[in-house]
Amino acid sequence: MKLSLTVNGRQESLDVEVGTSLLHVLREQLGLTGTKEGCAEGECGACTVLRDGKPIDSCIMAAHACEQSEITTIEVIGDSPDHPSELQNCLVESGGIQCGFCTPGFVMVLTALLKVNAAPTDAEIKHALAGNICRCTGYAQIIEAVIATAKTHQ
Amino acid sequence: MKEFVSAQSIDEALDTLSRFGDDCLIMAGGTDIMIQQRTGDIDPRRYLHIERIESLKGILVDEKILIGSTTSHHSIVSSKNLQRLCPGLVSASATVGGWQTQEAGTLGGNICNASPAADTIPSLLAANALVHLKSSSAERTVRLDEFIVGRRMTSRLEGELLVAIEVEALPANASEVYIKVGPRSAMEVALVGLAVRISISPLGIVENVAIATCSVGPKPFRAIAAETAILGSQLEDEAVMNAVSELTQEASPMDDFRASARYRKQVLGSALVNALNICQLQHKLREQS
Ligand SMILES: Cc1cc2nc3c(=O)[nH]c(=O)nc-3n(C[C@H](O)[C@H](O)[C@H](O)COP(=O)(O)OP(=O)(O)OC[C@H]3O[C@@H](n4cnc5c(N)ncnc54)[C@H](O)[C@@H]3O)c2cc1C
Ligand code: FES
Ligand code: FES
Repeated sequence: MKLSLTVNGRQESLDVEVGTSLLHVLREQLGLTGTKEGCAEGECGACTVLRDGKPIDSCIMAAHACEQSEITTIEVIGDSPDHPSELQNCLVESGGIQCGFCTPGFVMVLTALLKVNAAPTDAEIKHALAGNICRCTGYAQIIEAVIATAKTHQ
Repeated sequence: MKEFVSAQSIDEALDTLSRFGDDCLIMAGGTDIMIQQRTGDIDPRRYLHIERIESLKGILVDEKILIGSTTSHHSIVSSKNLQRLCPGLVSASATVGGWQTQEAGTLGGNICNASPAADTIPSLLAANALVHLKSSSAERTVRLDEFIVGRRMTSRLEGELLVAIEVEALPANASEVYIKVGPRSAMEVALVGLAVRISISPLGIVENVAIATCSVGPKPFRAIAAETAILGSQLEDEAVMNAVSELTQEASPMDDFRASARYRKQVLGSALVNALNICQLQHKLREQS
């Protein structure tokens, strides 16, 4: 069935089978492979994208349910690959990235958090990250990176 | 070929439902549906997407409280009105997965999916919730405990749309809590979920009480015998122990790899004692202020 989607500000016209996840369309049809598939069942947050500015798991979001939404993926966070966002810089510096598989999902959720709360507390950061799993870092460095990002904005 | 209809108004949704009936699956946030579809539990030919219908969203506080069926858990948790008037539901919605699940997942979806572990249902039952249903030819209002009829079963009729959920506000002298017990509260199915809403008089007498649970039987339920055991009491140990015994007798939890039935019953009993303690403390603090 026809699907028109707005991804990262671009209007896309596609033919997609009904019931396909947004994640599948992003990765397999639009070639936006920055968004990762971990669990494919809404548990790990690796596939997080913003839908009208709100974080959602794209693995359990029907692509056709996004026709009237603005989708934002990791590809447009930061100005360019050479000029990452402040949060991305802080994640690198704090050691909040190891294998990096979870990172796009964390960046999307944290970008959404910092937009509504420029100086989140430890508890607020942990709360926002309840739906994101990282197998490598132990989270402390990720939280540190958010706090460092908030400081650069003060 | 499969079809996906995104309705823009209630009338459009009801029209689609009247044409296709059960041949069309209602999709709100899709957080339950997408997983059921992936595991092969369901294979719908036609979806009716209702998330874009503005009039199904939002929280209306008047003499009664009306919550639109596609109101997200995140909107419930963020609502100042509900934090004050329905704090049990707010705590329950706050445990439904992480932020991403709470943005997409809706209250109506949690009810209609009718999981034995649906976290919002105990607090809704304790608030005497009613569900407002509409079809192209009729409208009806049903008590939530009559709407949820069994494990993943509701009394929704073919062609009906859940439009709104009505709850009673927490009375001024009342307290309420939702206790979810699990390996960790977010992102996990509850081993035991327990909601208590209670009014205590200035003399310390229980004037009104509602106790409801999930995850300890095929469907969430109000524990009437346990309520009767403490109604009119001053929450003395004996009354509380009677309530615990009634509650655990009425529960029929599962025995599975996550926890044994015996363990779940013990946890349920302790959850009730804790819930009553918290409510009593809230009551004392209110009396002092
Ligand atoms: C990672 C993860 C964690 C979760 N954790 C929890 C948890 O801790 N506790 C919990 O209770 N749930 C949990 N859930 C389940 C789910 O998120 C909730 O049940 C959610 O509220 C469902 O809402 P939805 O809008 O996504 O429903 P959908 O998937 O859109 O629909 C669910 C069912 O309800 C029907 N339906 C929906 N809206 C209507 C309507 N208005 N009228 C008639 N029928 C309707 C649909 O046809 C479908 O059968 C979790 C899910 C995920 C993916
Ligand atoms: S891949 Fe979507 S939440 Fe894990
Ligand atoms: S850095 Fe490896 S999973 Fe998070």
